[in-house]
This record gives sequence, structure tokens and C-alpha cells, in this order.
Amino acid sequence: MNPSWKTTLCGILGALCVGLSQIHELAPLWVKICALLGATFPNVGLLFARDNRVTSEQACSKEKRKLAGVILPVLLVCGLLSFAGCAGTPQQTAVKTLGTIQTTTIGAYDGYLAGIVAGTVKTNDLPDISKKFNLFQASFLVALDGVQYNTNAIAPENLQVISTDLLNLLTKAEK
Amino acid sequence: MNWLTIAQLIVVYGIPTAEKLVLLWLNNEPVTAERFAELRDLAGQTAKDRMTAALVRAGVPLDSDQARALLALTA
Repeated sequence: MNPSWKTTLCGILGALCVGLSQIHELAPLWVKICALLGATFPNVGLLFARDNRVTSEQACSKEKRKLAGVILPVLLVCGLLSFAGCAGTPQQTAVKTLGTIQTTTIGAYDGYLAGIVAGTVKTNDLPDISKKFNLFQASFLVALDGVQYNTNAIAPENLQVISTDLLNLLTKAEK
Repeated sequence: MNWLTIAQLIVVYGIPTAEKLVLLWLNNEPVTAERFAELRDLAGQTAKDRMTAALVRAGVPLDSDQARALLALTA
């Protein structure tokens, strides 16, 4: 058996983080972060793993690499959103979260558009993606009103779903 | 945030976006009206506005056929 260093590393890190999350002397925030990483690392490791029946040729298929390309950025954004709310008042936390979502989403959309303009990305998905982007922007404004004026408008979680959906579309379109 | 996370950010989103995210994460200053205005201004931009900016950055004339076609697709 040839063990993969990637799955081994993810497994060790996952176990370490789960172990750390059980140390209640740590600040509650770190317990949460460790629990989150403990759940995330093994899943990332699974992206590099394969079943016994899968041949080396099948393991290197484009589909699997595409899947990893979609999931890794999403996991990264989810992790960032967790970290973004580490300190400050609830309003500061909400503004940080909104700022992170906005920067990530607009940055990804701008990168996609740069590819379109340069001719390296096909324009097939451009109308759909642009509609989703406009929906994201409209939802963002409603969420921002909610944070600034404490109205019971759209919850930031919904905005995260729209953003993740758009990021997935962008990642797929750029492949 | 550790160096591994920052390295991953740079790989996935590029240096400018990663830098913005790191600065956002590190900023613990009170939220100002200017910050809200900044977020609101950016959120007020449509897909067409971003496409126009992308064309200008790439040096494509806005009255060219390519620009017209791309702007029509983002409308």
C-alpha cells in the first residue's frame, strides 16, 4: 500500500483539531474554530482519496479535478467567514462578514469578466451569471440595510447562499 | 489567519483580492458611515457596470463590436 501524504496530513490535522476542540480551557471561539477545522480537514482529505477499485487513469479524471476546484474555494470562503467574525461588536462582525462576502464575490466575478474580455473563457454562461450577480448585489443592499438600520430584512445567511451559488457557477464556467 | 490560509487565498483569488480579505479580517476599527457608504456604492454596481470597467481595464474601446456584444450579454 502506498499511503498518500495529502490524505494522511488531512487526517492528522483533522484529528488534532477535533482533539483541541475538546479542551474546554480554550476560549469558546477557539473551541468552535477547532471543531470547524476538525470537520473540514477530513473532508478535504477525501477529495484526494480514491476507492480500491478506481484505477490511476480514472483517478486523474477531469471531473474529479473540477469537483475539487469547486469545493476547495467554497470551503475556503466558509472558513474565512467564520474567521471574519472573530472580534468586535455584532455590527462590526456583520460588516466584516458582508465585506468578506462582497470582496470575494465581486473579485471572482471580475476575474471571470477579465477572462471573457481576454477571450480565454467562453461567453455561454455570461447572461445567467450576470443575472445571478445582479441578484447578489440586490440582496447585498437589503442585507446591508438590515445591518445598518437593524431592520428585519434578509438574513446574511441567505446572502452567503447566493454568493456560494454564484462562486460555484463562476468556478465551473472558468474550467 | 496563518500563512497557509493566506497562501491558499493568493492561489485561489490572486494577490489583490487576498490582500483585501486579509485587511478586512484584521480591521477591528468601529464601523463608520463611510464604510457603509463604501459597501453601498460597490453593491450598487450592476453586472453591466462591472463589464464596462473590465473592458476599460483591458483597453477595449466601448464602441467596438466586441464591447457592444459583451455588454449586451450582461444586460
